[in-house]
Amino acid sequence: MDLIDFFNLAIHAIISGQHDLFEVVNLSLFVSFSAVVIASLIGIPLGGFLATNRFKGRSFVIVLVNALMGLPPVVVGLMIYLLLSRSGPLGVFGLLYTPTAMIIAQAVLITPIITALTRQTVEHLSRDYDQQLQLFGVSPIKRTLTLIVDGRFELVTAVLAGLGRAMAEVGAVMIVGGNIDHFTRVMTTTITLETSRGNLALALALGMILIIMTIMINAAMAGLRWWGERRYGHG
Amino acid sequence: MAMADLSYITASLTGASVSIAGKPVLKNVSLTVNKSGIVVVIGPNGAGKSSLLSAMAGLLPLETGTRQLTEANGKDAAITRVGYVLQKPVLFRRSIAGNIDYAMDAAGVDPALWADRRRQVLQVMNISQDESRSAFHLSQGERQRLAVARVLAMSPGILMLDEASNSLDKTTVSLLESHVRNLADQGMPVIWVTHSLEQAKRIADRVISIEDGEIVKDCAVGDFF
Repeated sequence: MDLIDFFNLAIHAIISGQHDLFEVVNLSLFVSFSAVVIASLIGIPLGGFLATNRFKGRSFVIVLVNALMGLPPVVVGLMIYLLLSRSGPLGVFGLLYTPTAMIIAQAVLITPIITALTRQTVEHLSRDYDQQLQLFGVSPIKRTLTLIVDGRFELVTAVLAGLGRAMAEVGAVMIVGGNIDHFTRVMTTTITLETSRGNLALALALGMILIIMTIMINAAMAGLRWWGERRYGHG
Repeated sequence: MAMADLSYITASLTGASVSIAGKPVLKNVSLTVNKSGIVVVIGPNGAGKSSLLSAMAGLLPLETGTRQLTEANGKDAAITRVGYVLQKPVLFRRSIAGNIDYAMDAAGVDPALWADRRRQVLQVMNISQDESRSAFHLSQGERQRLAVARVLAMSPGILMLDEASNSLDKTTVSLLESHVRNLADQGMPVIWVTHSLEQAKRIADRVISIEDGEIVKDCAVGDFF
C-alpha cells in the first residue's frame, strides 16, 4: 500500500463514521476542554494577580511560571502517576487510569501557559489603565477583574495556546490514562498505538481529524477575537 | 444638571516637590483651590502643568511637602471625589453606558440613579449615540466628551481637566466651557490645564502660570491679561 491508499482508507474511516473513531475523538475533546476550563479558572486569576500586584518574590514566581510553560509532559505524567497510584497520597481516590487523571495531568501542564500569557496581557493593559483606575479608586481585586474583563479578547489567545498544548499532548495522558480501549484512549495515544501496530490508515485518519479540529477551533477563536476587537477595541 | 446640592472639596499642595525619573517637575509648589470658579493653569510644554494637576489629585507621589483633599466638613476626601479628565483619557472596552456605569459604581452612586444620570451627562456632553454602542467606535472628540461625561456622572467635589478640550471641535469646546462655567457658578471648584491663552481668557476666574516646575504667577484673570 502506498501513501495514497492510506489516505483513501483514512478518509473512508472518517466518512463511514466508525464508532471507535468517534468515541476516541469525543473523549479527546472532553479531556482537553475540561483541562482547559480548569486551567483557565486557575491560570487567568493567577496571571491577573501576578500582573497587578507587587510583592516580595514576585520576579521569582514569574520566572518559575514561565519556566513551567515548558514542563515535559512525561515528567508531569510521572508526577501525577506517583500522586494517584495506590501507594501515593491521592491513591485512595482510585483515579489512576481514568479520564479524570488525564484531565488533571493536562490541567497541570497547561495552567502555567495560561497563567504566563494572562500575566503578559494584563500587565500590558495595566500600563494604559493604571492612572484611570487609580482615579476611580478601585480595590486591587476590582482592578484585576477590570483588566481581565477588558483584556478578554486577548486572553482568547492564552486559552487557545493551552488548548493546543492539551490536544497535542500524548506523554502524560499515556502514563496516567493507560491508553485503555473504550475508556482512556484518546486521539494522540491511539495514533501512537496504531502507528506502532502498523495500522497507519486509522492513525492517519485520527491525525487528519486532529489537525482539522485544531484548525477549526483556532479559526473559531480567531473569529471571536476579531469580532470582539472590532466591537470593543483592542490594545 | 443639578449639582448644587453637592458639597465641594478643597485641594491643596504645600511645599510640594515632585520628580519623575530623577527629573524635578515641580519645585516647592504651594497652591490651594477651595472656591467656586475656574482656575486655569497655563504654561509652556513641559512646564509642569499636568504634573501639578496629578500631584494635587494624588496620582504622583510627593518628594517633599503635603497634599490635602478635604471635604467641606473637614474630613479627608476620597480620590473618587476628584473628577479628573486625563489628557489622554482611557475608555474601557465596554459600551458607552458601561463606561459611565463603571465610574458611578466606583463613586458609590446609588444604582437606582444610574439611568437618569447617564442620560443627563450624555445630553450635557452632546453625545447622541446609542448608549449600548461600544465606546471604541466613538470619534476622538466623542471619546473625550465621554471621558468628561463619565467624571460628571460621579458627582465630583472638584473638577480637574487636563487639556480636556484638545480633541474637541469648536462647538463642543463651547458646550464644554459653558457647562463647566455652570458647574463653577453652582459652587464647583474647577482646575483646568490648557496651553491656550485664548481659552484661559474666555473661561478663567483665576490664572496660574507655571514655568519650569514653579508657579510664577497666581492672580485673578483681570490682573493677568
